[in-house]
Amino acid sequence: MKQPVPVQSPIKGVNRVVNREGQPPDTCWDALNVLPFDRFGRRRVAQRSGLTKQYATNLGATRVQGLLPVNKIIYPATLNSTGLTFYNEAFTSLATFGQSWSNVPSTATVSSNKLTVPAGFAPPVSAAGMTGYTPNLPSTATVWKFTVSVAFTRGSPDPSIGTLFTLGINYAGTGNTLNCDAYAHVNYGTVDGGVTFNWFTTTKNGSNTILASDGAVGTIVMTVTKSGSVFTVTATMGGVNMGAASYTTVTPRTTPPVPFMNINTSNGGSVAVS
Amino acid sequence: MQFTQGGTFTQPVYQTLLIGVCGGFVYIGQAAPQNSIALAGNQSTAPLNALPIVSMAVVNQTVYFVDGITITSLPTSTGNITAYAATAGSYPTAVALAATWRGRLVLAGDSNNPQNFYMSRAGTPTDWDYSQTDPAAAVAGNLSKSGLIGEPITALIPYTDDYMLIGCAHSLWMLQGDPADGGSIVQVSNNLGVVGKDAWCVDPMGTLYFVATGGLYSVRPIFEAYRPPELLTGQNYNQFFQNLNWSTQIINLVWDAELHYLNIYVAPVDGTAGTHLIFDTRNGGLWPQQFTAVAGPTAATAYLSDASPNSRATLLGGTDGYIRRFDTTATDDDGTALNAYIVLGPFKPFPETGILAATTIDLGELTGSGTWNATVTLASGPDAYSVTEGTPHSSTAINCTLDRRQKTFRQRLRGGWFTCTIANTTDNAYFCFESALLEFEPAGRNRERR
Repeated sequence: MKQPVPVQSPIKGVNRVVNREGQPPDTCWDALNVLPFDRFGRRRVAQRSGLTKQYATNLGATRVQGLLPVNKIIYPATLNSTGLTFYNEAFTSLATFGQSWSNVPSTATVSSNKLTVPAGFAPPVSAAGMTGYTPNLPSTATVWKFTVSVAFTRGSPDPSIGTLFTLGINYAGTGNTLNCDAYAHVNYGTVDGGVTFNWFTTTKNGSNTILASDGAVGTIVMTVTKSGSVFTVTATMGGVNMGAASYTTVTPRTTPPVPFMNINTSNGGSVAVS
Repeated sequence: MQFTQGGTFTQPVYQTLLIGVCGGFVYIGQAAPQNSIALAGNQSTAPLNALPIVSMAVVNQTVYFVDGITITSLPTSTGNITAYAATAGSYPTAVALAATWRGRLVLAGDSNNPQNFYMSRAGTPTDWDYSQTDPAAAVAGNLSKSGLIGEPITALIPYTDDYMLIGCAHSLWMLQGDPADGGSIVQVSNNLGVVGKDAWCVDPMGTLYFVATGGLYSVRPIFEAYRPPELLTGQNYNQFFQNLNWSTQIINLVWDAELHYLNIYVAPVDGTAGTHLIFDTRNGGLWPQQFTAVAGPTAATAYLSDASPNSRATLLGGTDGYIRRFDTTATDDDGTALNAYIVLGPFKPFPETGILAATTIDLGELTGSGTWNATVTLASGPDAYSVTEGTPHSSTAINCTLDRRQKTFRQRLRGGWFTCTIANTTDNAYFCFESALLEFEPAGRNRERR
């Protein structure tokens, strides 16, 4: 007479406490490198997942002494990588500012995390130590301008549809005697694209004066989005839409772009950037 | 003012970095899309000792490292190693334990004062002025009403905002409330301790697990009715913990929130391969695991970098300077074949002897990467010992290279007791087990005697 003995997956693991003849149901006396759930999450004993390197980098031919995950806010640090680079300028001191940026005006001052460029400054201020990059400025700079430009490299895949880039700048204008333009500028590939808008006029888009008095602070927010093959740059200031421009012809950049600012106060007034 | 540039741009509000220490140097790692790790800045020489396991704590987004000899720091805002200095008072230098609790940097494991603990001012990890009397002031155990711990401290466990558990080799203590504001120390156990600085972890439900002498214990969340520590391994595999030697082994507990496993890693200090355990909380089982010697782990952590499933993993720091992770698509350990097996039984179908006449195995289906391989070994012997840890009287092996239900294998294996082992040692191969049917026939008296 045959005695069939059905055997199910011993999901309760190893048990070596009981006597040898008393192995409890759903347990086994020995196992190694198996787990009660397979690699797809089903409850059946299966070989465990293997190990792969988290990073290709070797930290040294010795044991790892500690690991700790840390959540951090991105803004202040420079994290260099092949994918993303963040750069923050906190304007903590003129000396610090001068280490990263060339052509810093000697008459500029730094206080309260704000850079103030007084009247009479014309040359561009750019990040030092990087490959040369000549900003593409409007040829007639008869008004003082504050320009911040960010360039990014076309990647593989291209930046995703949606908000590709947002730049927030707090600025304050003084000496409201001239029309002054703020130029939010984006370089994508070798094509320059940007939106020029005016800080102080009363007629832009039918809005009232954005900066009504000296020292008033406004925030520029520039957004680049992509829909299909069209890149659109829009800018708002103080929450008011200041304009948009679209670009369809883009040539990939072959050298890393260089962040820069152009502050031109040669016609008077001053600009504070934070 | 901030610039960003990159080919693939995302706009996360925060990022989870991985801080690693190796050879006394500090590294900063990032998850996808970077998937890279590099030296932290300002390290012309190693800021830490290259030998000991380092303890780390984070206060105000600055990481503090202690190695029993020195303290150093890494502000994540700069990514540069910064020499640690007190802004008020003086701090203990020869500490080996660090933790964060109530906004304070907590230090212990002072070789000059092993039963003492030290807490910086709340929110100011460089303020060690114990003379101040406000509730946020720095405090040391020997200078507070709570007093010293009863024996040398082995682990700091910041359990909740109101409770910190302090582990010693053979006792467990609970710090109730802020010691600078009338907090007190209560002894939880005078028999159980925590065998290492990382021999504990807390799951998402607030249950604390720790390895003590003689087993794995759990402590229920504090909001439940208080219950003493509960032994989890006394009914299945207590021998594993009885054989631990925490002076020659590095013990790490890591909770896997996705698989609901408690990982218990035991790595020998001499760099040889250790045997680890995974505690399956859903079924209450213990499962031995073994990696290559270089995989360690000498350090381990749960890395939950972002929302992507590919960026969440249990990371293992090896003895060779590499950091590894479990990968569901991997069927070997970083190029080395796994030795995976399970022994079903022992079975005794009849009071005397039987013959195993037919075996039908249902294996799982092969999906995903790798090939299929499972070797089924049937063994018989006169008693249960012979077919488990002893030598079987007879055995036969069947190699299954196909997945799912196998054909019925017929054999004539005679004995009093039987086992069925399913194993794989082939590289890049995988198996899983659904069920089996063993068919026995009676075979008369058991004539085998010792």
